[in-house]
Amino acid sequence: MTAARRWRQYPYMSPDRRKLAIVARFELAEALRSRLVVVVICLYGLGAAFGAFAFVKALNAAESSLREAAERTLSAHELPQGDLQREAISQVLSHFVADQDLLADLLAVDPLALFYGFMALQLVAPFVLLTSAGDHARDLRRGSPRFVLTRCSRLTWALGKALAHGVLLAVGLGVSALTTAAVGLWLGRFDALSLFWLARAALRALMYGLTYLGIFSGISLAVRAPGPALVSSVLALFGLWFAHGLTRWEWLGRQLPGLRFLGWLFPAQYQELLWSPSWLVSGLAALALLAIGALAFAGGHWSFRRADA
Amino acid sequence: MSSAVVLRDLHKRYGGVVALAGLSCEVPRGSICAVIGPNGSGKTTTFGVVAGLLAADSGTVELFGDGPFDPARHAGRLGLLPQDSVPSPHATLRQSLVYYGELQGLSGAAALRDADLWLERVRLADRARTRQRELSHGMRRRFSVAQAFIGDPELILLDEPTAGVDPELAAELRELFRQRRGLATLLISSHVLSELEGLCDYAIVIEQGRCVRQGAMTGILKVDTQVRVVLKAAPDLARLREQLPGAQLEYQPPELSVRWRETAPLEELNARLLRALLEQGAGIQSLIPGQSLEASYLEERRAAVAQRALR
Repeated sequence: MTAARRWRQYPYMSPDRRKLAIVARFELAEALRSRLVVVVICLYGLGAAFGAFAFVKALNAAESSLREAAERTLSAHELPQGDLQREAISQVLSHFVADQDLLADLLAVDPLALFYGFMALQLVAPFVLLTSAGDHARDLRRGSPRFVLTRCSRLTWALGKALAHGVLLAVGLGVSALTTAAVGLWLGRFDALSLFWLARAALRALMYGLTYLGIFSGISLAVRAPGPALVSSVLALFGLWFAHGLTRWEWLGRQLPGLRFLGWLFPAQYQELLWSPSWLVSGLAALALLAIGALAFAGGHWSFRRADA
Repeated sequence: MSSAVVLRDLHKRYGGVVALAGLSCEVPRGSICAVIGPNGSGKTTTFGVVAGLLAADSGTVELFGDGPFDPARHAGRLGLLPQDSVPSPHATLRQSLVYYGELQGLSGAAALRDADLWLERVRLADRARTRQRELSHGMRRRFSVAQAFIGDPELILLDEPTAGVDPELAAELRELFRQRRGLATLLISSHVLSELEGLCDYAIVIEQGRCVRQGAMTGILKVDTQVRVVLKAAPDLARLREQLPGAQLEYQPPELSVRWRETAPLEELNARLLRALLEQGAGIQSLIPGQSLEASYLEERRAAVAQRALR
């Protein structure tokens, strides 16, 4: 049977898409068979659970202290529970968010989901670094793609592997969201609406994480040596964070007009926009993040395309 | 006969090291082709370039008369046993073979069937659930052979397929390769020339990144002009030379090599040789047409070295 005839057994999928799915499925299974990845996912879930526990306890303590302060001036029936919660969260959030408009928007979000979303956004890049950075390069050094690249294109292999890591990232975020929800349920801070907010927060973190996945995969494909690829990824993570910080430095902004505009090239610029209650704004921010990741991946693949495998 | 692989003036450098220096050769479709050469002559690089893993600096590659390897055009038509490569470490042998089979174009069920069949053929059926990283070198080699054949590709590149494999299995593998004659084109590189001699019907000799000789194995072994006779006792060479003036004789116990310089029919020349040996009572044990591949190869190398020295 010729190759062309064999493909006709799958009329619902083009050869490339089918191969992409095959590579992604195998690479996902291969990643999940690795103890390191499983341990990192478990730690991520446990970290989320402990964090949620500490956050709820801190929130309860803040509420109690506010209640005690209010009880001294108001009678018991004049203390609405909702207002107390809002005030307590507002106090906690004011340590992290300077923008008053954003703070007002954030107060509409379920507190547990807010905490989860904040932590997930901060930790998703290190999670991707631990589970995925240098993985393409490790395979290339081992020579395992030589068994695959005579059967599918380089783009299919590289993209399939990145897709697998994208799913892995979603699994990690899903596990951490579930453990957060479980803790919330246990401590009586969880309802059906919380689930919606939690899912939205996880989706935000996924978009942010996919950007870094694109960046780290691109580096891995361009460098093609595991050690240097990992070091370059760590440098990129801190370099991007540092460079973005520079674009927001007011003194430097005054010296170099237009510097702030460069901030849009860095993923961190879109963190706050992802929190916007407007689906349009947060959607555009997510698209911009995906574009940054895709560009970095494309750059890496461009270098890998003609390189020796 | 049409060609499965045509290489023209291939050049490839790794930094300052020249791996291919104008390699040109053709491999007939359906043949089992030996790729012979010393270490570092460019055999593995040639395989890498044919399989599209390595980019040549210049020159052209034609597979099945349809341009260089392109996964879109040649999907499922090429199998490769790479040298010194380790498959994904966590997957079991069956999972890996099913994966390769599916990428080769087989359905999931067909890939599973093929995977089990090939695990059986390379005697790894009892290791189907073993992970790659738990395999010995020899087992990994056997697995690599199996994956190269999965999905019945038309062109199979085997780089040192029997290296590190026990002699019994090596013989089985050679038989397996022999069974593919005419059905697929096999390119086999090996340093064990005796195994290529009996297996291959075509040969390419590579020396310092160039093809110094190519052609049918019968021509390379000079079966039309040479014969080897295994003898029980040493012959009287001086008398033989008198009786057979048209022959160049060389005796290395227990083998007498005879190269005919006469142009008479080979059957007649051989008959004269056998008569002379019978008269001497040398105890003829067997008669092998042509010289050994090793002898031919070493002769080729000596000539190449002499030519270089002259230059």
